[in-house]
Amino acid sequence: MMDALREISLAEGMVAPSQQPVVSFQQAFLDNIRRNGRLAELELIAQFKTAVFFHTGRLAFLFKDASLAPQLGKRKKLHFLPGKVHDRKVVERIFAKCSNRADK
Amino acid sequence: MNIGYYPGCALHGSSNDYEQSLRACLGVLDVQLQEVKDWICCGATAAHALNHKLSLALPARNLALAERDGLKQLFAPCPLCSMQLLKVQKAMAGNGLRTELSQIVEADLRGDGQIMNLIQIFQTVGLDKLKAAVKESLKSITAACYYGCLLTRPPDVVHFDDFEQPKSMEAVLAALGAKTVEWSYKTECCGAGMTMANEDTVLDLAHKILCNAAAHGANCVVVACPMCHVNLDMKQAAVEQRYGEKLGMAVYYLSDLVGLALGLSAEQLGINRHFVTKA
Repeated sequence: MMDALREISLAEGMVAPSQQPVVSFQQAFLDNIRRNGRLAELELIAQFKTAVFFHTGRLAFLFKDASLAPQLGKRKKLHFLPGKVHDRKVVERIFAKCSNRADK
Repeated sequence: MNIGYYPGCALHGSSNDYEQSLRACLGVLDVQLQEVKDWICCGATAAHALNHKLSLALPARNLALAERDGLKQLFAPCPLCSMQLLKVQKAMAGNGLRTELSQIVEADLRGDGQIMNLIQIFQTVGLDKLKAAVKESLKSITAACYYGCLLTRPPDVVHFDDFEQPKSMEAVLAALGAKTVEWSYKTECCGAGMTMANEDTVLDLAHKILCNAAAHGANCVVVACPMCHVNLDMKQAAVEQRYGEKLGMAVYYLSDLVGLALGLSAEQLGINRHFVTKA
């Protein structure tokens, strides 16, 4: 029931301002998968930070955690060219068939 | 043993140390992983939160691909991916969703394969066989086994272990000669995918988990989930900074400790790529 209520409240635009970053993250995540088939982490971070910046105007948020990048790079955990799905068209069609108002 | 393998996005991304660890460890145990061809993301928490139908369709596509590849058993080392696959199987059982999902994912679905987590892989290998293969008994390890939310929950979906007081990871570690502690946070949430979107919550939860493990005498925390590892290992420095405490709690994947006991090195397992390292 909570899942259904959450989906309805999102579709109606009833998101508490404090929770907007969570919704922005999840929307960016789904958009990322729709286009790539699998998650492209660096692209997601850029998408998410940009979305939060436009919602809040907090410039500092764009650079938050930037110091982690070299540490992740040192540990070979950054992937600039993540693996892509061969049949990405089918992923787009799956998204189209499941489309609702909350994930946009 | 040949087994289907659904790595999920995290293991091909920033949690690639987990994949390194389990591939090295399972290689020694003669478990061959056959990766599902052209697998896609399961949708993770985002699909679950925003679009129920999509949260079924994305893992359903992966189930269909695994079935196409003739994989009767499918190992999903991420508990969220694993739970999503099991959720689809449950949703397809006994109602018309099978037909609808098959149409959406453009492939026939049966939903009769066996989905397995990392602990179940070791159980299938056999704890006696594991014990017999130990080269370096882990006597110096006193572990807090951390199951997080999804290895055992929702119980009517995953049907694995006791969902409040699980013991299966402790049994694996006992076979390796390690000690484990009784503690209070083994099935609490670490904040999972909120790492970026709600860091305050993640740091608070991670602090409670790590402190409780230490208070009960653990010298490490053991996980079988990439997100739990991120929040307890990578974010540990941020936890220490926020609370002004030095924790220094090593966080291992279960396959790390199995691999060490089997004689593999920290480098072979990717332990040297963790953020918190302990001699």
